Amino acid sequence: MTSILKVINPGLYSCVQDLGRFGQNHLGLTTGGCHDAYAFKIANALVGNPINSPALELTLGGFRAEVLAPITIALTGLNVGFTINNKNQALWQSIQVARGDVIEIATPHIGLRHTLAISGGVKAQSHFTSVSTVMREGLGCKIEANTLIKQQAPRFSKQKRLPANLIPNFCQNTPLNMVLALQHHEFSAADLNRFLSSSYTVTGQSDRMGYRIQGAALESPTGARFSEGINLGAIQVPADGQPIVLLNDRQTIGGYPKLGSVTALDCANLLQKRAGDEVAFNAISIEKAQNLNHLAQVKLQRALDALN
Amino acid sequence: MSNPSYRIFDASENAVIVYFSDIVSSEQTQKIAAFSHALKTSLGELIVDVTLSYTSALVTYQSLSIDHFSIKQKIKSILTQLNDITFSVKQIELPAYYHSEVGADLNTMAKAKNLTVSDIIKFHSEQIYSVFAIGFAPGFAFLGEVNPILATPRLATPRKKVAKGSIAIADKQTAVYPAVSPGGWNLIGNCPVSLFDAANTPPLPFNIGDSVKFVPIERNEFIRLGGHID
Repeated sequence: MTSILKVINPGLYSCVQDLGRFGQNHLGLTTGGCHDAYAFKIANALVGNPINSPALELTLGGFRAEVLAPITIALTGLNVGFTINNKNQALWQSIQVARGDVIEIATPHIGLRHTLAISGGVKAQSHFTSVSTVMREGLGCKIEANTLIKQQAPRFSKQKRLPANLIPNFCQNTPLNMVLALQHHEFSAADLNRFLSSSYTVTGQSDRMGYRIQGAALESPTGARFSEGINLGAIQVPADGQPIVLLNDRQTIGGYPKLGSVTALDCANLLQKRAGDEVAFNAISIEKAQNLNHLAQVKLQRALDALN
Repeated sequence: MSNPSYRIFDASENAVIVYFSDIVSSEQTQKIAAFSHALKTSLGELIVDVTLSYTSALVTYQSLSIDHFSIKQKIKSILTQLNDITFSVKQIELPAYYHSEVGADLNTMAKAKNLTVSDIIKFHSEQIYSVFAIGFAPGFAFLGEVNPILATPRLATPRKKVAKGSIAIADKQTAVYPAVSPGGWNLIGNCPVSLFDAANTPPLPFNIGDSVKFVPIERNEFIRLGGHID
């Protein structure tokens, strides 16, 4: 298999992802998976791939690679300096690159993560049904300088561009939708109000496993409890009262009380936040959260149709 | 009517959690394992993942295909039939080399409890343990319960590196570290058999609800089975 990219600089953290590793929790394996399913699926569709093809996830830009064979690429995420041979390129579109071209993605001013899809998909070893990288579990592939990226299958794609009205409007200051669930009834009404009316600061101890946020302290319900499964977005409150939102690479089980969950859609927004950013939460009903999922699905389908 | 001891709560817009009991027992754990099996068999693609642990099952579902009312109805119906389902569990044996050269806390524990090392080996290996939960790390199984005499709190300061295969005790539970990792459990021995191996089918020799018994082995047998002494 021919190599298609030589990574000169991987940036802060670059890895291979797909939509996630499902159905493996009983082994203690977490889900992992791309930071934003919409951005990931569209990136693949732009280069003519099946939407679950392995792609690169870049954290905080700083990525530079040399093209070794003609391919189609697409970058999705928040706006960022993106050049081929120092010439500016737009995100959310496919770009044909040739041998010798240099792809460069700058450090973003806002946001954190981007998806870089490559026609044919990135060749990666699948473990337990998925190529998702979870460093803690020793699964997947972290991209280093000099990594040679191979293509899964040769594929060529025609020029595609996502219509502007289907590019997500990543609004940085919208409160994150969450549902009050799990052990929320064990928290006092005053603390639930405090949580929903405060803004919290993302701390430096935040990564794909979970985001630690700092602000109004909540009283964590005491009492013995057994570890239980942790779902995506679960907001747990340890004894220090500072919430932790569990994300894609979360541990499968844990024992802290949880007052609810950030919706899967808004977990993608949270994963764009970096240390020092402020976040707030907006409680919505499960019915509304499920409706929003359906609307998101309609929007995704419209986008995929537009790219077909 | 479902058994009133079951409680079901929403966990998110695409997950519910089912609590089976307030106490941990091998009987409950087997019931939880049977539930998971029945759920996957009857609901198939609607189920994204099931995470079992001690007294609960977290069920993640395809919320684009079924809403939270309907999934809870289906779960309740499965719970109602649970007592009629026969579900077989297995017991596996794990070789255990109990010695201070692979179990750094063995002698300390014996001294603190006024026991001999042989007593500790006897108490630890005569018990049949139930797999209560799997998590913390791939293949890490929480086994319980140890003879109360052996119950020991976690170390005040966790070790940065615990060897693969280490057999350990924390409070009333015991476990085998499936890989090198940090850890705060009290180390009493080592199991030379690889517990979690991606190349094996299945990658882990047991599931929640199964039981485990440790069989003491001598040093030469430990080495013969692939054990290492650091």
